[in-house]
Amino acid sequence: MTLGGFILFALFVLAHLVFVLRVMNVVQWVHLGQGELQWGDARRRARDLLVKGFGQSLVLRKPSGIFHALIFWGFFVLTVGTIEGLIKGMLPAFSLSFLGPLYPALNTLQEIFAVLVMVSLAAALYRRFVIRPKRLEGPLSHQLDAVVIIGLIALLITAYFGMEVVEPRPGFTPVADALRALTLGDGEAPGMAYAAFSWTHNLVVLAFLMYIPFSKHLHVITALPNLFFREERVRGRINRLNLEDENSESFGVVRITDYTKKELLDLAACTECGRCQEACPAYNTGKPLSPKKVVLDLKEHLFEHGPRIARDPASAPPLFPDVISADVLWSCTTCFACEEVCPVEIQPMSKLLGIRQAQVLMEGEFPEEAQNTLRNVEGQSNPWNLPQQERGHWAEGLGIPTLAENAEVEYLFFTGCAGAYDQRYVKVAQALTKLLQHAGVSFGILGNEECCTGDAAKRIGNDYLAQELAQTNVDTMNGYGVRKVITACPHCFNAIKNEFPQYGGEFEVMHHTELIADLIRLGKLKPDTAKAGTTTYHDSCYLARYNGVDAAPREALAAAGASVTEMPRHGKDGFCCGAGGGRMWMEERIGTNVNQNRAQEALATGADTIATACPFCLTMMTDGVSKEGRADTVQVRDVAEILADLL
Amino acid sequence: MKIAVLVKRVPDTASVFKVAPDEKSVVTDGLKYIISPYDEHAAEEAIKIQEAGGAEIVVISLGGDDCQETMRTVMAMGADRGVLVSVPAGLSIGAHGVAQALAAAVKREAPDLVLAGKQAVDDDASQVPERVAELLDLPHASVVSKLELADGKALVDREIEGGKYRIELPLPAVVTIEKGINTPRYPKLPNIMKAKKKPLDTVTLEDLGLSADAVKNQAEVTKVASPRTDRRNQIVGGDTADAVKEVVRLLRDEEKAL
Amino acid sequence: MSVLVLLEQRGELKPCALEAASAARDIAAAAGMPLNAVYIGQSLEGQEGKLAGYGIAKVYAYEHASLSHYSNDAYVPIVRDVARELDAKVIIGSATALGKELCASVAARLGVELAQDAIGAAWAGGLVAKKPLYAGKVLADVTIQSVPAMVSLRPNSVQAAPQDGPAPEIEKRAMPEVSLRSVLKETAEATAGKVELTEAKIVVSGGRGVGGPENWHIIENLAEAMGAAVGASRAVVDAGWVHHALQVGQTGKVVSPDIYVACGISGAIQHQAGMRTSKIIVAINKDPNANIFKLCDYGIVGDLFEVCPALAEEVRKVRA
Repeated sequence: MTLGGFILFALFVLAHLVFVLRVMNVVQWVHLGQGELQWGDARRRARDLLVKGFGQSLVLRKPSGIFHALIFWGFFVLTVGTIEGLIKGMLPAFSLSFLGPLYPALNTLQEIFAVLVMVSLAAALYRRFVIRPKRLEGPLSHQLDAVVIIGLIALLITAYFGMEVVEPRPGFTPVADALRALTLGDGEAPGMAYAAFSWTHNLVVLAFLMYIPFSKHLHVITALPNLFFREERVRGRINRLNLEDENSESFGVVRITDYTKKELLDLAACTECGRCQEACPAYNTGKPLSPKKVVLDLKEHLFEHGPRIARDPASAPPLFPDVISADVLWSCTTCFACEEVCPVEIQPMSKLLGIRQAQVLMEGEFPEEAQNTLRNVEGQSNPWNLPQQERGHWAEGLGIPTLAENAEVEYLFFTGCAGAYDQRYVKVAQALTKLLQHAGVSFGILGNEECCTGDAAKRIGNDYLAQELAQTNVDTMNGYGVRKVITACPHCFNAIKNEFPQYGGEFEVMHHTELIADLIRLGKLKPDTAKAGTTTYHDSCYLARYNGVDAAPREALAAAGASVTEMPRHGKDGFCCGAGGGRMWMEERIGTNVNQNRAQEALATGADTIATACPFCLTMMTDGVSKEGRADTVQVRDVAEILADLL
Repeated sequence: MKIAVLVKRVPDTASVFKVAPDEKSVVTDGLKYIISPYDEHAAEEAIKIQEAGGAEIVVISLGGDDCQETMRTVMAMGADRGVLVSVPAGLSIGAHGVAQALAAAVKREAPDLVLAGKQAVDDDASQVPERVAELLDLPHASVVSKLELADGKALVDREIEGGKYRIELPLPAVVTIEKGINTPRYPKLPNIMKAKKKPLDTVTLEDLGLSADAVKNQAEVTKVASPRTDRRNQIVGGDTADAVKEVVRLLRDEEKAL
Repeated sequence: MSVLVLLEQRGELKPCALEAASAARDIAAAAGMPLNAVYIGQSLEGQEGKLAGYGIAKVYAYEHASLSHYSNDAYVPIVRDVARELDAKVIIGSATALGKELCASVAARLGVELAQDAIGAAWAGGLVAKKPLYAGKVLADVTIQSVPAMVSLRPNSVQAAPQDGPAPEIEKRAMPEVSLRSVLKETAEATAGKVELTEAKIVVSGGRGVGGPENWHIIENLAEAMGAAVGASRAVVDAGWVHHALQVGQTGKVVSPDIYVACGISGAIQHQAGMRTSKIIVAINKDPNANIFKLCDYGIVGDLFEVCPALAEEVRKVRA
């Protein structure tokens, strides 16, 4: 081994030492979390790793993802050359030529990807510093981080081409050939040229290795494990806390160590791509909440306090309000967009919900308006404190049996608080009744026996109250042998479908737009399409994003003869109305209003009707349209109302 | 410092109250029960005192076993223990009898301060705490919107029509609480759990040296009626001048509200 | 044997004292008992005339500067002793903030029952008081068997209706010796002008129909005419026309005044949650289909820019 080779070897060992020690630290900090990383269900995990990881399927959902994918794939391809180069640096005689015919093929592939990566780097720079999408914003340190990384990779590729130019390897390498013709012509390279490129290449590789785990490029190491260790979960379900556990002294997330190991791995896996932030209704309307910042703040907290917590777990400081402030915590509408769009399946919203649970259950500290609402729900089982004894009043004279009167009906129509009490939404419940009766559907209601499903309580963080409400409903429904349920509210729908099974309630649930679409398909509803106008449809988060119901309402509207003009953000990428996660029951004091933002988008379609399928969306969009001064010209109506008018 | 908080379990007034067939009571089916809201403010005030300077808080109530649930909510807020004056179901006790029983229970505790809501929102009797004070010969103040303690004295703001009195009372004293004084805390789950294990003693009227006869209600409700259940939904027509005149007449002469 | 009425004063006799006297007169007549009164205060001088026509035989007047303000320690023994002295069978007071405290304390001292905050009382072989229960959702007849039967009457619930008759005899009594335990340190008048929203007897609220902050004076003018507090719907607060403190509704204040006037408010459930327990709801809205008309007692379908000023004027006229 030459002296140079020895020095390189020493640096090689040093860089790996730094790398391994840092990674071990990160692993240790991740292990400060609760529970264990799960290996079971290996087939699913392997598939995720292949498709979402190596296949980059989630990254590629955005057009700009192609650049990342190319760099990512290029990384693996070029690593072959990198390894060769490193070993050659230490043992100059080394070559991968023993691979036979594979060797030139690999070299060809390397050149292709070297070019593609260079192009992608240029695109990345252009995006970050010329287009400057908001989601890539961040403090100077983050920008520097990006520049350093892009610079290092660019330097690496440059050195790669330098080496190729000076000492070509077998294979089809037209770019290197052209560069050689351009720089050297027929002449010889200076004697030190190869060594200079080789050293540059190898030093950059080792620098990169040391830099990665200290930068946002930690995700190079953590993203794939994060995809692998992802836990299967029921979308729209917040696992019930074990409140009976006598030994449990703490509920929800008070300290960073209250998160699970997988949740902490989430933090380490963030790529800072900002897709979550770009989709976040709170961030987009000037609230201090950015899901990206939530993850990064928690990550910074973990990495800063990790060493101390590892020595003394009790020393973990509370997250609220220093790491996650009240304004951040309570701005979340639980619209799920951040978790939906994350290319490495990080769950920022769930992180906030854990803290909400702690704030509500452990501290009793949360926005006063929300406290009033929960007190109302506790009292009369609806958010407005209207009498429980009048819950069934809306249906008087409509000929709908209660299950107490007739439990033999096919469907339970779970009316929901809004359908029962909100005079505006009572009209929707009645319109749906008209449709169902017209189609000859056999259904009944619980009347005064129905309770709030606990959706708002659950998402505000009061699991105690939510469990009580869910259990009461499940017991009542099981008592009548209910099997099929229709709801006119996506929040009831989500709770019954996804939460109630935790309480022994297994029901087949349909949102009213699904049933309407079915009835149209079966020819049981024949809307007179002559009267339909132009419509745009606003997706409810709890319907479209959480539960994938986005086609049925559109089918129903199409059957009504409405020409549906889509808003730019629709379907699973729909933008929240601002009312989810208990936000309906809180004041919106910071920034602009989410509903106004959404109303503007809806109005921009030029449609004369904004169709909704959720009581909260209906209220929020109606208010938003009024705020825009368009209440006289644009109607906001539920899909059921539009259809009922056409019978 | 020892504080007694008197609380009552009442139906949530958000409920619908229907006259029972006997026309002497209301239908209790479907009613939800809560702590009387003014009592909750009194409890909160006691706990604020406890937090500021330390105090033992005993919550005292009178009624059936279901009152325990109400008392536990106060314990979840922070009260240390409870004394339930248990009365047999079906025994009708008037304010006079309730006050005697509660006074006897309070006397056994010998608190420095007795707090209660200014009224219970079921019968709106608005007199039991004052009676307790008089029976125990304690100074008292009602409808208090601000309470300060110092040097064995209570300084209170007592609301009166169009103003307030600032009164200084030597302790021990009885103070009834008005709504604006504080915002009752949202109970914390660990405290709800802990409250289930806090001591709650039950005493009978006999234990307190009272006979059922001595507390017998002498102010029986002999008839109840619903004043009006639904809104009138009356659209007053005519031109603006007429409509306005008619509305003012209705408010003044019919409703006697203006 | 006597019916005894407690004459409440605040410097002067309060109107509710005469209302109580009026009710007491009718009860005394029905029961065939004489009516006497107790006055406790600084001085009744010059006010005797007001007490004519209520059939009061004698007013036991305890006059002293130190009695000008209510005090349990001073007032309660006086009433207790007069009641015993006269062998009172019925005692009628006023259900004011102070009157209720006095009645409750006297009832305890006499060991009798008391119907507090009654809106009527009559003699039917015994005293029957009519009083609201459950926040006014039920009206009960309470028959009081203990003697003396005590009742406090809610102000404005009976009319003071003097008949022809002489002013009562005034018997001045010396103030008994009492040791005052509680000390009145200070009295304060409520700040004049703005009425606190949650405590107001009347609330006038404006909604989006007001059109803009430049028109808000229409709401304020009506509120002033009615002696009302001003409220607002969420839309108005959101738009920044008025401060959040005025918001009535789910995420604002919950009010239950005697009269709630909703101007240009559609009546969404979020608003309803804050005002539905009002005793009487008046709605002014140009949209005859507005939800608020389903919630109201009296509605005027019309332009609030016309109706509100006209209503203010009419109220001022009848109040003048």
